[in-house]
Amino acid sequence: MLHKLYSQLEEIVGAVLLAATCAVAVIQVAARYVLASPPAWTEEAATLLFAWLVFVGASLALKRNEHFALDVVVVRLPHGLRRMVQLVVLLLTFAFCLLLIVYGAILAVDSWNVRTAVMEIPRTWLYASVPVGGGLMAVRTVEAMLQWVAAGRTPAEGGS
Amino acid sequence: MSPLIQVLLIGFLILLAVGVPISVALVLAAGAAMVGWSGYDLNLIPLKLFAETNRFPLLAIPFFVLAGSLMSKGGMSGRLIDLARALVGWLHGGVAMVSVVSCMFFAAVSGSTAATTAAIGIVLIPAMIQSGYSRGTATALQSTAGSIGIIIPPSVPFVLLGVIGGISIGELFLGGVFPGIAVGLALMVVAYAIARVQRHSPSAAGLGLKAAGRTFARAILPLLTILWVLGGIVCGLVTPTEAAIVAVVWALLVGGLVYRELAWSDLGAALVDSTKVTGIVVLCIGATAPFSWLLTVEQVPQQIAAGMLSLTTSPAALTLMMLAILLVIGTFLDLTPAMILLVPILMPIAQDTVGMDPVQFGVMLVLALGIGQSTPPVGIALFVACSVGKARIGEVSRALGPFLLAMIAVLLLTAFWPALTTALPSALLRGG
Repeated sequence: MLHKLYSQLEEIVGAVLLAATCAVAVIQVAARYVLASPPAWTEEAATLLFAWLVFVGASLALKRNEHFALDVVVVRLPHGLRRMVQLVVLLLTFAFCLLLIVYGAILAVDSWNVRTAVMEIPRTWLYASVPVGGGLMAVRTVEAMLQWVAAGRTPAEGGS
Repeated sequence: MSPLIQVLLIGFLILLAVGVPISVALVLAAGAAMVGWSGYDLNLIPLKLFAETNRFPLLAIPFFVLAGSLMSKGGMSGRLIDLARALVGWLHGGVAMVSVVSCMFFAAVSGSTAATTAAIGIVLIPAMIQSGYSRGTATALQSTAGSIGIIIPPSVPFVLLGVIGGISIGELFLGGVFPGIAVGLALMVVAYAIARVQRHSPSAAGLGLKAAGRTFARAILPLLTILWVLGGIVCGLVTPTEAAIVAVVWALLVGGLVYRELAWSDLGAALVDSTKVTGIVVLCIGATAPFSWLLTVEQVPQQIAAGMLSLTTSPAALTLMMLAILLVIGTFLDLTPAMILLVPILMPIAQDTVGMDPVQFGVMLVLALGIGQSTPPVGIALFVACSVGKARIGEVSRALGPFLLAMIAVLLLTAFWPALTTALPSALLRGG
């Protein structure tokens, strides 16, 4: 159960976030035509959910290795060299995650006293999606590194 | 070029070549250039990245993708295919035309190339092969027809372009209508010619008026999506983002309550899929922000523009040059990264020197890059079509030629005939 929650974390959280974003957007459209004055918070709430959706989705795509990338060069490399390049890519991706975590966290902490326009909550709740998303992606990158090591130990798989 | 820009561009290209995800490569190259050669604070990276992603209009992306998957799983695509069969199925090369027309219908109700190509291709590639087309030709047609999805509104790339280029999304949607129809017609002409040359027999008898009417009636609910989405935007009732959520609700109602073909598991899968696409596309937009900010600070777009202008100042030659750049970049990069990298460079040239309307420029840009979606080495429509058509990329590439020529012909028409794109938005949105 716990393992499934961990391996499917982005799927579960992402689906809930998107469903919630949809619900807020529906409220916005419905309220405009039912109530005379639509609530002002919907647009801000929807963008708050969206911020988290983006980074959870980015981690989901990273886990499935589906981000836009150019593989025309890499697939033509001999096996040994390709393994090295794969490791370099993982290390660079990890550096990217660290950058999001460290500088995203600074941004989030620094903005505690900056309030959003309508709901007047600290902008930290928006910016925190960057370091948290970076952290999720870092975890998935470490997983991929462990898989890389494991693939090196099983020659049958490594020959492909 | 300043050392900063050299590091930025060369670093980016090296990272890209070794296969680092484009979003990661953009951020790392910007980071390296900022630290090493300019002394900018790295705090700027998450700040710019976040600011670029957190915009309300971008919410249309998950919504349109969600609506697209709900529609293909909820029984809408099947009914649209039946309607297309009734309309053009009795012609020579009829099944191929059904594929094109179905893609146009489906593109008009959904917002994504991948959803369109998959939903229609899975049914019609086998049918095209049965009617006499080779597997390569059938898949090539499907992949080019699928890429119409980004021209015919609603369209996710137009939403993106509206946000990054500051162009009205509603006007872009309307501007895409005629070029989208033109691409569809051009592909059908090619399919017809192939069927004639290879002497296929017409695939099905005509339906007769009564049966055709029944098919139309069955497809009325999916077709109404066009009215809600485009009609809503044109009449100013909803913003494009709100139109997208209306499409989601409509797809849920029709697929879940009327047709009862939508299962709870489909809904979950659609939510997850849309989350993933959002993560990929929007992260890429954000990752480009620090990168293109540096380009702007160092005035690179102006330098490239000056370089192009030093070669020629003729609007026609500049337009052709832009088209060549778009077509070449489009074959190597996915639509989203190509668009966000090229818009800041090409848009000033198109507007100020060539004197193009922003809507015409936008449709031309998306169409040109869209052609690259059907070509190797990188093309989402090609990949999806090959996977649903169980075809090899090589055999499809060899069959692509005539279809690509047809699309390029429409591209030239779009680039040199402003009214094709601007007539509809002027008439409906700009108050005549």
